Amino acid sequence: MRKIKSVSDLEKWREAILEKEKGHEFIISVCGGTGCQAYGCQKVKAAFQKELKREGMKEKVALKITGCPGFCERGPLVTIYPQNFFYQRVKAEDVPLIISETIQHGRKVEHLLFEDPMDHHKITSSQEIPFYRTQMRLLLSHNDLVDPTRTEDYLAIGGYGSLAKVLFQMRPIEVIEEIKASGLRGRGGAGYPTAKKWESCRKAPGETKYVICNCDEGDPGAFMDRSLLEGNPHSILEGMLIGAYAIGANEGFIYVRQEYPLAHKNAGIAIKQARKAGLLGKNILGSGFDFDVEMAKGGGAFVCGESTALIASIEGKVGEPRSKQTHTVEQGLWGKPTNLNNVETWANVPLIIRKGSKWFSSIGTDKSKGTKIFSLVGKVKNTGLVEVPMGITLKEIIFNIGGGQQDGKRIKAVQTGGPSGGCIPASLFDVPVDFDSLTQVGSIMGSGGMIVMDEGTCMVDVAKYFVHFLQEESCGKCLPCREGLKRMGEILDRITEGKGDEESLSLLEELAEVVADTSLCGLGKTAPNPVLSALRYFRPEFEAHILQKRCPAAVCTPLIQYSISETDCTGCGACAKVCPTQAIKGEKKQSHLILVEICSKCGSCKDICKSNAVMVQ
Amino acid sequence: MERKTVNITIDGRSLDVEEGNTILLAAREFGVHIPTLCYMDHLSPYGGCRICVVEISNNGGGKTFIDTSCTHEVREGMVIQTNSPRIIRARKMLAELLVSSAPNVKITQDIAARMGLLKVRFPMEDNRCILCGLCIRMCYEQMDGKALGFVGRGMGRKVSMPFEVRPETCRLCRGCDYVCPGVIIPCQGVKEPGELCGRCVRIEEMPNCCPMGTFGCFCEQNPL
Amino acid sequence: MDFKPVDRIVDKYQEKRTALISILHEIQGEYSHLPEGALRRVASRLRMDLNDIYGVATFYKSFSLIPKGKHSVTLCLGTACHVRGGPKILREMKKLLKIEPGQTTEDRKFSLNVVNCLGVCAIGPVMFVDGKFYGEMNPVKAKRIIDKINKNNRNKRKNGVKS
Repeated sequence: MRKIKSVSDLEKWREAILEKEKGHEFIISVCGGTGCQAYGCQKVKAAFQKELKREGMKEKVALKITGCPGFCERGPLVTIYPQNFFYQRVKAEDVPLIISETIQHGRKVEHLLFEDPMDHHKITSSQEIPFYRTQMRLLLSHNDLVDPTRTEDYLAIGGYGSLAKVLFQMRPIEVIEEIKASGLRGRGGAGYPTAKKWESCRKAPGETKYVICNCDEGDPGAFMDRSLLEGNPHSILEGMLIGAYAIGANEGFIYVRQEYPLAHKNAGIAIKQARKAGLLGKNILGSGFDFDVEMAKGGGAFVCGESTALIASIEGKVGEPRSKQTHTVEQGLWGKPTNLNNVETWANVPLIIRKGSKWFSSIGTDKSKGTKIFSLVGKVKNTGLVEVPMGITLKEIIFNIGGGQQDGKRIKAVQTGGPSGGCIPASLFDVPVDFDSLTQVGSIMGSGGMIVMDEGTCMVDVAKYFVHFLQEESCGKCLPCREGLKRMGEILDRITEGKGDEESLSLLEELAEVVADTSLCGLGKTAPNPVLSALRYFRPEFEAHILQKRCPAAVCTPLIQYSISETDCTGCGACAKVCPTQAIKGEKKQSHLILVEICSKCGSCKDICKSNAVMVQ
Repeated sequence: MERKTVNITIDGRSLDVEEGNTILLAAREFGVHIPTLCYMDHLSPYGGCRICVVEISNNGGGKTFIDTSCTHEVREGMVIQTNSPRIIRARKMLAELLVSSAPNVKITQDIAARMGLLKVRFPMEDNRCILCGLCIRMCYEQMDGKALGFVGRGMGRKVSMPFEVRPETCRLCRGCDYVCPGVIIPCQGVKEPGELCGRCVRIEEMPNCCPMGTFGCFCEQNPL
Repeated sequence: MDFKPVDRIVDKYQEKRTALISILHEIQGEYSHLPEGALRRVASRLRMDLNDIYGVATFYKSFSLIPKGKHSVTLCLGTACHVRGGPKILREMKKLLKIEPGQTTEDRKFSLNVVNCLGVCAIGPVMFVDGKFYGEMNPVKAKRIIDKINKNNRNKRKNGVKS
């Protein structure tokens, strides 16, 4: 680690790194994100280390453990450069073959390549895979090339060049103007114009100011921020440095939720290395600008994603939001002007400075510029992180990139915006994805979670799920959120148990209006959204539960019944063996029967039946 | 000393009120009474019960938002409605939520009566603490006891002393008991001609919501 | 109670209030829960009211004031895991371990927790057991993991290794 004292020091270091990289004939990039960790990428990494040592190849082959490339469904992911061979579902046993075939002979290992689902031909590099083809991976592409624990990797792709430009060629006001011209809007959910926030904070009276990076990412189903902070923490540091310079802040915090240990660890390593290199601390690059960052941890509270609650949490208090009549940009952390931005927002900043606001604003739509990273999850074939230009339609994301439906069930809706958002029915999938269009159809962009739902998903159950989630996460300070959500949950519970009546829906809607109107913070104010949007687009499902005591998607246990189709059952008896309540009777090779009175409706029989003979309705 | 004033409109009346005031107090000065529950003079406003909500427009334009009048400060040009249809609906529902949670607390019944609530459509519970936080604010701000606080969160939130043991800093000043709205039990009405039920003055029937009562610190020593 | 570990942790974070949550996490790692004595010590070292420390310890889900089990089983109930069958796994875990989420088994072996999103949504349903992530779970696979832990413990006891 060198100590950098000027821009020329920085450039000399960068040159030295690039020179050293030329000495590598191959780069093996293994994804080290949390998803691939669950799939065993550590074993793959260890296997590579062993093989490379054994073959004496450590000098000419660089092994990098990188950030998440996004195609989590297919992990562990390994990419070989310079050929750009993209290997998926790699196991430790495959490693010797990769070394002997690809590294030593430049040949592809066929069974590790992605197979096109339509014509079954093998695809070599990631750019041609349908999942990646229409993406515009301005931010995520760096994850493939950077080992988050090596500052050198970030420098090799041009890192901290934007900081140098800002510190020596731009005044703070010019930086704000550039961000304004780019049209960048906050990526945390509300889409507030970033430059406007910076400007208000800059203008706020006071000497001491703070910048905060919000990596609380509590929306269930969203993990974009985790992957960015885990995979390329320096990009966030650079963004915060630039923002702090523009605003006039000298201290910053990165708040990471407790459930993201790897992101916390990697960000901490990046900070330590940046300090050693002189990129954080006093007189950065010899510019006279001081700035340092500290890590802060969450304790397990979704409400701490809200800016005032997050700030309270950093101050060592409970995460209770406060009234926002005076915004945090004027009175935030310790009462001082504080600028809080989301991880993805910060990550976009160095990009805009490097390539210019004109280039950035040419991507996206009129009012929503740039790209957005979405976590495409749920009942869709290709799950993972996708980065797309604003304005792309939901249909393109779900079908072209996502590969469409999974296990033969028709996709019926997609949920965006987490517990503050709503569901969008399949009939509206031509909606372009941007801040305003999504709001118009009753949802919000949110932080980027996109949960696909199919015919096997009960929308009443989804509404109930979100209300119970928010009940758990409510801080409990204000009456409408604490009691109102409780009563909404009770009504939805009754409906899913077949005990709803004609007044249930109107009472639900009345409650929803008051909770939205009178809650103190964003959590309560947007809590009714999932329920209201489910009612707006899927009211017949609610009515079926209430009037016919029936769950059309066959999900709500009190309303469903399991049975075995006589014609399809082969009498193999697998279901009877796995049934926890011994509710299945039948002779070998003869059609089995489920005793409805003792059936616990756990679904294990359906999961294990190879003849698809178990029916639910 | 000349105090700076700002001009606001409350329920159609144009008023010059002192800058830095909250809407609640500014309104009171001019005889406009907004109902409250968790607000008490000389304690910091909390904004937890939301009963005192009003509909606000910052500059008289079309767009309005709702906020609690006890915490929201007046600004020049603000237009405030204290009894718009939206506010009335909100207060009525909030009262319904309160009463269904704590029907045997006098103040929730008072508020429900004031909002004209006749029917409660939720299953009734019997909580005695309405989580208004007055006892905590009294303990911290006026009596310097620092003995009470909120624990837990969401529906499980309650008032307690740390580790459910009375700390040394508690001087048994009974300030918490003094401000607690839940301590007063609703009247059971007239019994014999001229006789009142007297429940509100009989200490042995004090409900179990007050932190002091729960921990039995002083109820043995009858204060009366 | 021996306060040395608590003091060591508070010193590591330079008595900073902004590090309170990190401090409490490390204390919990040391004692498998947050003992009353430790919290009182933290309050005095950080010059904060005990009330506020107690409030923080009871507000955040990741803290436990009662001792946790040796093996921590965390289920993700985020939306993506939910639509892929998360609740069925929870039912199975509750039946198998005979405890509710947030509780510990009587023999102090297992603690069951649910979390509202672990952030590994693409491979849901997800379980986090003893520091390792498991993806694409179902009730059968989940049972296997618990059985394996029980078997390992039995083997350790058989071989005279203290478990």
